[in-house]
Amino acid sequence: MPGRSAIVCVDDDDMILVALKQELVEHFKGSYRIETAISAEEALSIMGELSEEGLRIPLVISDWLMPGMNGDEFLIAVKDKYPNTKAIVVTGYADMITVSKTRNKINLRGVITKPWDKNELIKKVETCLKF
Amino acid sequence: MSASNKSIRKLSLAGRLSAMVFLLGLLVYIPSSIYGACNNLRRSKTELIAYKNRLELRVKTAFEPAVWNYDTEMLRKLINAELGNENLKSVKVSTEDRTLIWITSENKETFDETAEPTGVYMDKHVIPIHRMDEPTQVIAYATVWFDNAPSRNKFFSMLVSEILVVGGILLVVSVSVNISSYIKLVRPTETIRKSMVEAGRSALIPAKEKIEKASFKKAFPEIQSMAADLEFMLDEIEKANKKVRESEAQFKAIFEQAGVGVAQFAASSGEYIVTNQRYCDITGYTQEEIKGLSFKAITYEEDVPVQLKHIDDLLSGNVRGFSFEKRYVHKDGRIVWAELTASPLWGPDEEPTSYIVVIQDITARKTAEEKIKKLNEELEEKVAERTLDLENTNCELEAVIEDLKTAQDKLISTEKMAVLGQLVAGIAHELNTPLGIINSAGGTMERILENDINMVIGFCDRASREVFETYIKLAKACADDEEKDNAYKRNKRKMYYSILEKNNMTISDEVIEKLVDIGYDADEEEFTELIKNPENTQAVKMAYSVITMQKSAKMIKVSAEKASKVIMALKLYAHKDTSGEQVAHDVIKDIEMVLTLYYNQMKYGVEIIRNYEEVPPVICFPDKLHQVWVNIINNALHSMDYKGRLIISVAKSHDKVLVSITDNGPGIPEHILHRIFEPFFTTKKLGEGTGLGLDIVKRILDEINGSIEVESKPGETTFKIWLRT
Repeated sequence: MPGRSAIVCVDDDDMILVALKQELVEHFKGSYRIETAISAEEALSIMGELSEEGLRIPLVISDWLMPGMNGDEFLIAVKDKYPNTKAIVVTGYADMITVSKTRNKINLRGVITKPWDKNELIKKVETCLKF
Repeated sequence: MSASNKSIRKLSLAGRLSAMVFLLGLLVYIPSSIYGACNNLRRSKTELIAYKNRLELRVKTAFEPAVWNYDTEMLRKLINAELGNENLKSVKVSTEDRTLIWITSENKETFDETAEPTGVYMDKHVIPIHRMDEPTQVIAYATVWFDNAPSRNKFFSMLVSEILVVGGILLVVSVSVNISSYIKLVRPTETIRKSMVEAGRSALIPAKEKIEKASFKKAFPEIQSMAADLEFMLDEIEKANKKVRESEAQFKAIFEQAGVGVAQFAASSGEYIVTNQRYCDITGYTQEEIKGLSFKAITYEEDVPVQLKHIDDLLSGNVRGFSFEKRYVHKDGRIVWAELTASPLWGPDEEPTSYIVVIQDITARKTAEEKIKKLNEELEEKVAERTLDLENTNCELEAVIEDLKTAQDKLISTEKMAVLGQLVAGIAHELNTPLGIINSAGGTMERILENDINMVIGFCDRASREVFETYIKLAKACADDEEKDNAYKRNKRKMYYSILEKNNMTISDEVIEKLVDIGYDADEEEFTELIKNPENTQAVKMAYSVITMQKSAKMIKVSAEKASKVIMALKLYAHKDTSGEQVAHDVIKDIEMVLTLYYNQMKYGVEIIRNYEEVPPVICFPDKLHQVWVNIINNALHSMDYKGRLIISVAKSHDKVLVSITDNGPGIPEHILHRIFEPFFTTKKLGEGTGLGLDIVKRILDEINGSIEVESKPGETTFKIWLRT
């Protein structure tokens, strides 16, 4: 197994996930493994498996409003377990994150609103991965 | 008079007692004395006869020798000896031819034949004297005279003396009985009687003195205890009297000083017997003036028949007292109001005697009442005036209400738009998501068409048959398959890497990634086969591009459908029907449309349970019915804070359709439950709601002949809506 890094995408809408994955795969070709999860719970379990495999997870791209575990709870859990993992939130309600009290408890590096602009998405993801 | 009569009778008691003793003595004595006297008489007679027989025998035997010998001397001796007996009066011894000797007890010796003793009780007896040697030959006769008088006299004198003695004794006994009964019975009884007479005259002290002064030592014990009892009784009466006197004094004080007027009336005439000072104060008459007057004289004319009726009831025993308010005419002519209470002084089964009346001056109260009544009347007039004003105002208001109704119709459609406004933010997101996908998928397709299509064409041209077949296989297999889940894909990836490691082969991660991503599902043999030919790498890339195109096209289609559904719901909701007619409408479709609008607000925390039965269409204004569901679902979601369970049931209920919407929120507090349908009533914060929602719901349901009910408890609030079909 190659010693690569992975980007994990979380959204309750599977088509969003497919679209996101297509964007990322298209851009990064094979340099990052792109994993998708339909819920925060699944994402955490995937992240567990990945780190067991020895993969680094430098970035998660997550929805904010989800049934079950919410975006903020998920990202708090991520910061708790993987302090080096950064987060980008993709949401239809950008203002909700701005007012969120949990803002400083998570490793948030960017917010992308739906529908997203492909260039803006890639730019933000690149920035996160570089720094 | 009666006392003296009694005294006479009492005095004769001792005499009667002694007379009774006397008569009783006689009654016992007389028969016994008669019996004794008879016995004596018989005994003296027997003795006399025995004596005569003995004399006759002695004469027959002793006299014969002397007669035979004519011995007179001897005869004399013999006769004198016999004459010692007092009964024997005279003895004559004679032969046939001559008298030998004749001796009497007085004359001694005589021959005078005429000197024969006489007397009432003289008994003459001739005794023949026979010859001793010749008993058949009578030689002489002895004539004897017996006198029975002495023994008879003796008997009678004895009898008389006996009677005298016994009579004396009886007399003494009866006298002593008389005396002792006087001392022991008559005198003490008389004292007691006199004392009682005194007591009867209420002279208790003299009565007691009489008892105390008299000595009862000699009286019978029963009389003694009677006297003691009387004395005790007198003491008790004295004590009781004292109490009576005290309470009388008290009563008199109360009666006179009472704060209420008290009067006693004769039952028969209705005249005053006695009144107290207060009664006089109230009526203005003095006690002397009022005595003998009838109540009618000082009662206000109109109240007389009323009181007479009450008194009739009282006299006939129908009531045991009465009470009413009446008017008196005061002596100075003014009217005095009084509250009168009457109670009879006779028992329930007794003849009416008199009754007591208590009156209280209530003139002040009555005056106040009059005043209040007058004020009330004035007030009523004023109220009537005001009512008229109000009626006028009401007419104006009705006109205003008519205007308001028109405004309300506008309000309903305005509220609809207000709700829409609140929904728009969420709906925008609901549209943004599919638009984002369409955008992204469009971009991907564009890129593939720009860059890869030529590669694909080139590949098809150049590829060997074998490689092309691999491509077709990959593209077809993966396109047919459903999207594989992530876990499965990860396992495949692991498997492929381990096969590579095992066979010591290498291939770019990109190829593996693409294989996994398109859902390539191969066993070890197939995978090794694929990897062996490096040209297959191109086939994988081509297949990936084509599949991605297909996927993107599918995503665009699905997302566009989603967006169009939302837009359709919005269009439906915002639609305003201008026909003004109610039409048949599918209620489930209507509810689903509203749920679509709310989907984005519910999908993160609300579980929706649909219990839909097949129901006939309902008759309604469809554009207004949406508002019913919107308001109720909106309230339900709000109360649950968008987390919980919403149960929507649609069922047939008789000839109607029943829609029940139940949430498991905290419920509506009981004290506001009855107010929730009021306009402008809201529990939401300022700006969150208009407070018109449920009011509008009710209005709409009224308009389409539907009805609504609500039941609420913590964890279960149900709105039930009936719609006609």
